[in-house]
Amino acid sequence: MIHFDQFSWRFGSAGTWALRDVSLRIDRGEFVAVAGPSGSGKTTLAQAMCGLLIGRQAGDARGNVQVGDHDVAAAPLHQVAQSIGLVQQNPETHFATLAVDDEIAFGMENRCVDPDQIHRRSAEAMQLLSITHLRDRSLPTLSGGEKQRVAIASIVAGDPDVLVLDEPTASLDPQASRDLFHSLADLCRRTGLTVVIIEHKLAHLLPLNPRLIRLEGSRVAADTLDATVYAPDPLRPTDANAAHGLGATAGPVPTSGDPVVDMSRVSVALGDRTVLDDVSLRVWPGEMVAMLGPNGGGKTTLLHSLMGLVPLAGGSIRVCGVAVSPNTVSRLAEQVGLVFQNADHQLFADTVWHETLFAVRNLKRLDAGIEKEAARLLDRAGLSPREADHPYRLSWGEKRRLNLISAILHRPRLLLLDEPFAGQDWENVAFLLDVLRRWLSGGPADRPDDTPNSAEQNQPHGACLMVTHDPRIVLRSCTRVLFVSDGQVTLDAPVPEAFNRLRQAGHDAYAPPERVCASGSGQQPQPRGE
Amino acid sequence: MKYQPGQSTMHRLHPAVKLAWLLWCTVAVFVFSAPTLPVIAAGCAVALLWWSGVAPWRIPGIQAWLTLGIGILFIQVAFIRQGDPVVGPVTSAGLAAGLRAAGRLLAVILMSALFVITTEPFSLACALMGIGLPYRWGFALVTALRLAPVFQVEAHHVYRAQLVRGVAYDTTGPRRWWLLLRHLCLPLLVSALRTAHALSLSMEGRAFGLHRRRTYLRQVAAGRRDVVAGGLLVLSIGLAVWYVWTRAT
Repeated sequence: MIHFDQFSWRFGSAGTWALRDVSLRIDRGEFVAVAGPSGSGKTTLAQAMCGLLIGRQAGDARGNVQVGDHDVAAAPLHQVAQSIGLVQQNPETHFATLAVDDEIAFGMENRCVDPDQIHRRSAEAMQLLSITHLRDRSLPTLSGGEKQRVAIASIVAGDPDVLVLDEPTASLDPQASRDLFHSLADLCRRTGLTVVIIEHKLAHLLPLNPRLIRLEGSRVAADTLDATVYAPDPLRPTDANAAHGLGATAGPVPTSGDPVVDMSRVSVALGDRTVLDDVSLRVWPGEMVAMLGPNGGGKTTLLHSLMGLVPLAGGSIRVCGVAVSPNTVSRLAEQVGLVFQNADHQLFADTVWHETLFAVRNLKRLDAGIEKEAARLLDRAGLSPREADHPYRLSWGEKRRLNLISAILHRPRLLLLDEPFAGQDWENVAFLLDVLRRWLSGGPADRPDDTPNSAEQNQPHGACLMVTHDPRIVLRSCTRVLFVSDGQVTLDAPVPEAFNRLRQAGHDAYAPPERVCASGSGQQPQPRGE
Repeated sequence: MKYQPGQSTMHRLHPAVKLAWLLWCTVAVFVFSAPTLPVIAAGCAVALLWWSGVAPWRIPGIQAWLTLGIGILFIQVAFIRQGDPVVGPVTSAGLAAGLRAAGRLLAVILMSALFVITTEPFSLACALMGIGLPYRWGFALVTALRLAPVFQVEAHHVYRAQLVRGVAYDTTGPRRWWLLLRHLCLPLLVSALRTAHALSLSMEGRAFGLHRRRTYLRQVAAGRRDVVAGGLLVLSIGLAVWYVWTRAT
């Protein structure tokens, strides 16, 4: 069905190859997962097979790609698209209309399919994706998971031979991710459709036994049906990880001194909807708190309320002993750092170096010591050679590392992170966690070999609250779990106990597999700079 | 201001007929100088909003427009001294000019609100494409409507992301506007270009633009009430032309 023959591609006429000598054959009806580190060429591979690369973007190509009977270099896009459909990461940029039924009909209308047939095929596609009940809904009213299903149905209705999905669960919670993967496997089995999923989060995909293709360094590093090869817990307890405070499950932190966060009976309403309902919470110095929960449950609003970004309908919040509500956000920024979910929303300067120092400059904290620390952190993050580049030229993983470095340089006492690990490979996860641990322990974040030894360094510097959907990261780095659902903190417990209680409550999609809790196996990337 | 679903007669009227009425009424309130005409048009729009189940004072921004209208009326009344005295310093010419200017403003705003609130955007695009608008133009309208809230959310995110990194947008004065211009434009432009590129790939990948014509799942058919509304529109235009003609001769 899809045939890559010694295919190589590089963007522009110079620079490194994004794909090198890729030879692959994917047959009809296969269920395929493509994994690999950030920047390994996964999205480029998807674009190549969908005809969105050769002749459509500036670059050099070698070898060829065949989809069905079409050579993608020679065939017009609409012909290739009849055989293969791409669902992009963000469904918002996929939709061309305003309502579910119009969106699913869109491709067929463009191909001048008869309206009666459009009705029939739309109904079939909706049934296959279990979204018949959404038929009359307008698109903005759908949840993230529903939007993703509508985007898939809009491709499936066109009756392609291959469906390609580029990180379809990037913005979905674990339950929605798992449901979506099951629907795709079911679709593959029932219709004979070839499904190719580009994905970082393999935990919910592996039980469905996909064929796994791993890209590394722009090449195909592995191609196997043996799922166990790709079920590692790279942050498992090992000597190397233990040296960086990773690997072992973090224990609870003694609750002494003044809390960094003191929320009392906080409610937040957006329009007619109550987003946070009577939430009380205390976070102590040295704590790394994970927030789990379904999309729309109130996690991001809780983070934003701590920064004064949303008005409170009731209750009060004190951060580092200061009341949030009378202060401006730009004043609170001196004590609180917030990293948003989308890396691009936080890049404003014209070079990587200026971006690193953006916040410290605004907060008037820039001095020679901070410049030195920034330089060392960029070096450890592998960004030193890119200091003069525009931040938009970085890969997604590089941007996320830059976001975090830029947020901690002025040494805020509270760090709020909204899905900092989304779209990150394990090497980057390990690096980010290492930087976080050093910041949290009060030591300089820039030196890999420092060991907190002075009395001052033994005092925790601050606390961190992070929204994440990856239970393995929580298990290996956090001290406590909050489960936020329907605007309330429905669970607040130390990590192992929290996961046990989540499993008992039927939320096992949010908890790691039991074997990961026990030990783990497989490969083990190291944090950078070691 | 956006479409509010409903089943009123105004909601069910053919979008093209509503658009034609809106265009004709807008032209009429500016072409004819009688101060009562825009006031009557604004009053009719309020009545039709009520009839369609929409409380006029709940239209977003209506208070600001009303305040502006009253301000315009007050200025005209206060500064125009020609004409006969009506009450105190108020003259007939000042009152007429004030009513005309304020009435035109409010009539256009209220009639546009009536149209937007009772017309489903995709139906409007389908209706226009159904009467001959090239479908590429129709979808330009649809995608603009679709992306407007997406860009609004993006702008909000970028604004917040900069606040939390110490950009003092939450101060007052001209410095705030300088900071907004300096730091918001580039991320928003980049975001808009990326979104537009991704959307164009999505649409082209689903054969958009492949044929000169396309089929439509959604058929916006004209009914008896549309014929009556269209007939009344033609009649009113005819009467207006006849009126202008007889006045001119």
